[in-house]
Amino acid sequence: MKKYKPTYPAAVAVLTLGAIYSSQTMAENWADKVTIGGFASAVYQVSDQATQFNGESGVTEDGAFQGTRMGININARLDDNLTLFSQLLATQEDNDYRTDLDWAFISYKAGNEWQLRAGKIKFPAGLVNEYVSVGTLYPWIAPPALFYSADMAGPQVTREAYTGFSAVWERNLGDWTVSSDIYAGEVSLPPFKAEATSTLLSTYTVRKLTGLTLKADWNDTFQLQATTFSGTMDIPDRPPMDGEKHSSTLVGAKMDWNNIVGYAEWADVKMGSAKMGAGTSWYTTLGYRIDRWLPNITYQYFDKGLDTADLKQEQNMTTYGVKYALTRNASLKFEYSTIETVQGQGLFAGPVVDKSSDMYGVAIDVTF
Amino acid sequence: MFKRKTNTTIMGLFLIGALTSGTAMAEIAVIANPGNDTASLTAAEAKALFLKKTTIFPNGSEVILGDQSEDSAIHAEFAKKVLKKTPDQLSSYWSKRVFSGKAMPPKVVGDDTSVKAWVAKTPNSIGYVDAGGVDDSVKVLLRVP
Repeated sequence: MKKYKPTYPAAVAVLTLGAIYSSQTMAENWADKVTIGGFASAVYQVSDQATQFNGESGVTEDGAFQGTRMGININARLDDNLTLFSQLLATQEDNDYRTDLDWAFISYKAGNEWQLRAGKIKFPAGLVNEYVSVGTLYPWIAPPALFYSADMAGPQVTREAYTGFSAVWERNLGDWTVSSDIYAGEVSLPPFKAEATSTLLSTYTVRKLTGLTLKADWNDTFQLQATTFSGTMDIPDRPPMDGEKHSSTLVGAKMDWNNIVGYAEWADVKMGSAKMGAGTSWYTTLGYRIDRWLPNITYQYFDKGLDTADLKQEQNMTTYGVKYALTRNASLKFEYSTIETVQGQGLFAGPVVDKSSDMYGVAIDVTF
Repeated sequence: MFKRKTNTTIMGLFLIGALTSGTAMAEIAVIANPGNDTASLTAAEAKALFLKKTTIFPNGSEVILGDQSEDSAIHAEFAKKVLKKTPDQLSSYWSKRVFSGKAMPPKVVGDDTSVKAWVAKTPNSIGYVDAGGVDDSVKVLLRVP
């Protein structure tokens, strides 16, 4: 396993300050104020294609353990109003593991309804993005790739964390809970490879980012969510996108009612005048829980590079899956997917000969 | 979270077991430190507090939550009657809150005896115990049949 690489100085600073503060204030009773938890997923997927699906270390006919990961959460209550939240995440990458500070922030409780947060914070964009790495909390082996992809060829709905500030307001209205999250900062994706030459390009950064997420939740049974965020792209290697405005709008709904489980999300991404990065993506999932079993079906779609015939990417994917709850904190999943590449290469790392592909997957998820 | 088995034989055994189990059917008392000036809580207010949907008593003071062990019968009973969730749903609820950095779950204090002793000595605390074991060391805010 590689050494921990501090890629976000601000987040590391938050963690360090929190640790210093906590060591002074909690020497006597730290066990009462610090909680440690974690999660892990072992994933294996294989397709009928030689070209990788969903990233450079993606799934091929040789099989891949992409998505195998382990995370540790360390949360510390520093005083009545101040809490440090953090998550370390190790992910499988090119037969090795990369460990990152996935997110870490200080949260200040300002009254009963407000939280002010600073540090590296997971995007509240997408229904499951804030716990996207915790497999036991959703029905799929991985959240729908055509929506939640981290790959540059994908729909650009980030699953990363931003470094900045956030003000979260939450009000309890009996069976309903409504909340808003207004935030500002910047986000950087790791350096990515140019599809044609495999040349390593510069880090993809969005600066001066601002966003707003609104949520309404009825008894943790029905949830509605809407998000909009925008910022300025800083990608020196890609002049068409460099300096352009990046903006995304997402809406979604989720239900877990009488054993019926459903998800639906839609997103629209724009990159100023750079049409190659603009697009829409959506997915819908329906499942029915039978005792410990949760059979489910997901259809997902993305359309990118709108109105530019030579750059257009269009792909859809249908997944038939089943989740089996081994225990309250562990699940076993099986999936079969068909991928239709209508135009371009979609989430494949290069051109594919067959426009129709099959993929199989198995995963075990645990939390502890 | 898991759907109850429909097999009638198992259902029959379950019902017999439930009817003869004093622990599963006991009244639950939501208790607070005697120094707390909150007179009482409604079931909805208790639910909001124990899910951390709100973190203050109706009188405005901050609340400190104490929970029973996750595998205890009273934990499941309280989750069902007050929080309106199965233990699996409650576990999933806290996992989502914790793994998204939204909140930390209530402190697990232990069994009835431990929770009662902890509440008795901790200002602004709140917990729940079998109502049969309540004494003057704590203040009862809600009784749940």
